[in-house]
Amino acid sequence: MKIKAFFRLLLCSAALILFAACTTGDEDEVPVIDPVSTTFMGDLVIDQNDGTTYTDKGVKISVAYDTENATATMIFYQVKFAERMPVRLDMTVSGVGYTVTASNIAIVGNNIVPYAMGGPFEQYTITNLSGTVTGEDMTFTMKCGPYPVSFKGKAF
Amino acid sequence: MLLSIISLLIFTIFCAVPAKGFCADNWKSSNAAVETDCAAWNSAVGDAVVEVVASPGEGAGIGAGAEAEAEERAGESPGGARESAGGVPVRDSVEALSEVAIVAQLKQKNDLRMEPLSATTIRLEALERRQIASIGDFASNTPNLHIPDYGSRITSSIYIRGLGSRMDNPAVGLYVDRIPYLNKNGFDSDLWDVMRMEVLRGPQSTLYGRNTIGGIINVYTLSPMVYQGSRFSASYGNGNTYTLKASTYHKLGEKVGLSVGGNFYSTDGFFDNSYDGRDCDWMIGGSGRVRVVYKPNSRLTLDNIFTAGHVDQGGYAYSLYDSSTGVLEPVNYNDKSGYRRTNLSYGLTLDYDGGDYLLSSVTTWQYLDDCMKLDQDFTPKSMFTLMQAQNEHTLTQDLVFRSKERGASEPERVWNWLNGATIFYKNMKMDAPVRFKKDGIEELILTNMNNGIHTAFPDADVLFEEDEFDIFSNFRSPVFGAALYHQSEFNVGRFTFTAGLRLDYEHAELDYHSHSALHYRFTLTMPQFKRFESELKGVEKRDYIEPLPKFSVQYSFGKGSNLYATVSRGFKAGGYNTQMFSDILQNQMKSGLMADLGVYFDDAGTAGYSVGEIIAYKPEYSWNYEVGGHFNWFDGRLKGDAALFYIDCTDQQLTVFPSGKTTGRMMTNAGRTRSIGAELSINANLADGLDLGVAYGYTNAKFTKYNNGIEDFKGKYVPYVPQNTLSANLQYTIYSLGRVLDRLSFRLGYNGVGKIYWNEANTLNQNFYSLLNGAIYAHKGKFSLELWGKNLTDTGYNAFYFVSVGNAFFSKGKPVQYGVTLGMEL
Repeated sequence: MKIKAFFRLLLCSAALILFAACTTGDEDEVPVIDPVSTTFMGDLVIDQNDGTTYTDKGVKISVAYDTENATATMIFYQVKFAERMPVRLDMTVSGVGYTVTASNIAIVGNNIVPYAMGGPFEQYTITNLSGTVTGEDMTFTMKCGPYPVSFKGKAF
Repeated sequence: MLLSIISLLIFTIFCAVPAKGFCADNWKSSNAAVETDCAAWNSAVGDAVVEVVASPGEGAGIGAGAEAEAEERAGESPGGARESAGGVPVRDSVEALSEVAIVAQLKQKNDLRMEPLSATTIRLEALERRQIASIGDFASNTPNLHIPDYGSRITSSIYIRGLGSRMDNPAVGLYVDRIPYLNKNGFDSDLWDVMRMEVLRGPQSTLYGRNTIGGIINVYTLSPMVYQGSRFSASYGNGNTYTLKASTYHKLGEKVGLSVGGNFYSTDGFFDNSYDGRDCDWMIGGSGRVRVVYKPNSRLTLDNIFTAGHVDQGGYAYSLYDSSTGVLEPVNYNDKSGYRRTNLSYGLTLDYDGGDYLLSSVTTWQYLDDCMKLDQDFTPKSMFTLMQAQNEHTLTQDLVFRSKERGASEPERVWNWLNGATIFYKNMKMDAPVRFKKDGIEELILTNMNNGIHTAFPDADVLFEEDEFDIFSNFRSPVFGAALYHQSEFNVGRFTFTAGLRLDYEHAELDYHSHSALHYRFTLTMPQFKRFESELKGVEKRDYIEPLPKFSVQYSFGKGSNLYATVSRGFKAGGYNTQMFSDILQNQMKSGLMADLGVYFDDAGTAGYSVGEIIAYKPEYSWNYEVGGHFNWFDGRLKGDAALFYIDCTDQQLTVFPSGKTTGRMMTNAGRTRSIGAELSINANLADGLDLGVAYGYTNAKFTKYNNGIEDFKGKYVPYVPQNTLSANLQYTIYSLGRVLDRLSFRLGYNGVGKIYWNEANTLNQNFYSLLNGAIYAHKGKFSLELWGKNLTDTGYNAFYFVSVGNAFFSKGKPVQYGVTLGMEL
């Protein structure tokens, strides 16, 4: 009888230990946003440096991640930075740093010369790029040449 | 017979192959090679004639009974056959035959004035006296038929009764010795020893099918079964123009007839290119014809006709028109332009006379190989050039089974019928590279692109590494057609009721491939040039099934006079705008190159053409309502023909020039047009030896529905269509001048054409103009001498108009022409 009671106690203890172990493990795992290439569509707001802003609506921006180098490439499709700008441009911003956190992917960049119109486009050098990407949303701010730019969009 | 056909085919293919490779290969090399190519276009094919004669025993003949009918009808002609003072029976000469000129009609009556249609017939003597050597010359003697001088022999722009277009499918069908010419590029060929030419106005689609919406032109050459003898002529005129002709016609026994003939011509032309001071519209060429007729018995006739032609020319005397001043500049362009064509045709016709019925079969093969080169901007600038090398084989088969037309002395049959079946296949291959040169790259492409770029980046440019680049376009277009048709004619008292129906099926394809490559650089961002390629390829297919009915009623007054009313439907096949591909690809390149740069213009107009919308155009349809009559008075010494017509045309095909600095031209379908008009012809034998012929045509053709998206043209006149065509010929012949001459003729001719609007907006036009022609002809025994002149008053007029790169051009009509012709008939 005592032996039986001992085994019951042992089983209960083992179950408790197992339970406690499982609980401890779940609490230690950080939820991660996978760095999966995604295209976002949203509004690009450009400060015209004259007290006004220009909003290019429905802009598509894709983000692709290079996990080996921990850099991301952002491609802006057919964007326009001013109302009077007669053309739309495809612009590629490479070498954007990213960090995966528990709740999002943080993107940062500074002094990145974008690629547009067949080559590096120094006139629109990107500075102070900072933003976040979640599964559904992307927001960032940056300066494109002299122009402060902000973007808020959803996965497309 | 089979041996003969095979030897013909082998020979003609042998003739043709080097010419094709020549043109195509040279384009792929350098510019210098292109010039060499132009200079070396003079490959002749006249030797073909000799080969064919090698087997004369297997010939064929003209239509059943034509020879006998010719003899029979000789006495019926006004004035009858004459005998010369020199004792040479004129009746045996080719001129006498021209008076009776019975030909082997496949689907019509021999006397077209007995039919319910408006027709003009000109026979050998009149054709030769009026210097008619092409269908263009013929048209100027025919009411409401207008074939302007386009500037080269590649395109015969044909307008008739308000219908017509300058490119692709013709509005009028052409048959030479019953051989259908399906490609308009071959229409403007040498015509000599022609026994009879005729035009049947109004849709002939029930019997002849596609592309006869405006009518048909029939050409019948001399047959060795009708005429035996030899003919020679040499002609020299201003513009250093000379023509040599020789032909011989023989009967080898009673069953076989053989004829061999050829011509050669050369001219320096009448216009200079002020860019280099050289002759612009020079031309050299020739043609040959062999005909072998075999008539084994009174019922069966076989006719083999082989023709070969070659032409090599400069051409394109186009003058820039300054719309602000109204001044027409001299011809002035820098790039070599010209046209070279070799065409071969073979026809085997079989006629079987079954007593009450006739069975006819016409089997033909045609080959056309041509090469056109153009300074397409026609200015001294090095903008762009076009080469268009075409190679086409055509096979046709027509079977006609019909009741036999009864002679004048026999009672009319109550029911005359005609059944027919036709098939054809043609396969066209075309290389049409467009070469953009330095000025063209700058003005047509880079300026346009950089103007847009400069609005965003004032100091940056797109540059091309190449000074020249080609847009290559290759096409293959097979077309197959088949048709069944029937026509019944009921004679009830003085009335004749006719009804006919044809079912036409056509399948047309276009396999296209356009491509180009170049290297470009954007100065703001690209230190190196980058290769850029553009390509456009695909296949388009179309099928048509068309019912083509015809109804008519005719009332006969006897003695060849009658009234008629006809309702008929016409059909002109659809097609593909091959001349737009360089424009389409050029626009695709511009937008593709900008996309490659990642630059997109807000202006949607630069996005380029929609290929699907531009590549094909629809068939054209018409209903033709016509009343008319043929009248004979004073025992045939006065003949009159009159017709009034109303044509309701839907989807009329128009050649238009896209707006802006475009390089192509395209066929489009106008919504709807209507054409009202009349024809009046009078031929009178005013006195012995004095004959007068007057022919007048009036056409009022307007758009009733046509909006091209930019402008509404409703109520405007259809361009290129002359409102009035007038011709008159007065001839006085003295038949006996003792021992001096057998015959002396004086002819005074007049042609008037106009007013012609040149564009849909009716802002440019050519007023009515008049041309005076004349000839003095003397005949003695075997010899003849003729002094002739055309446009004797040296009237200046514009014959043609077009637009290229936004510039307007006119082709001026030929100035005064005169010459002398020495003839001999043995």
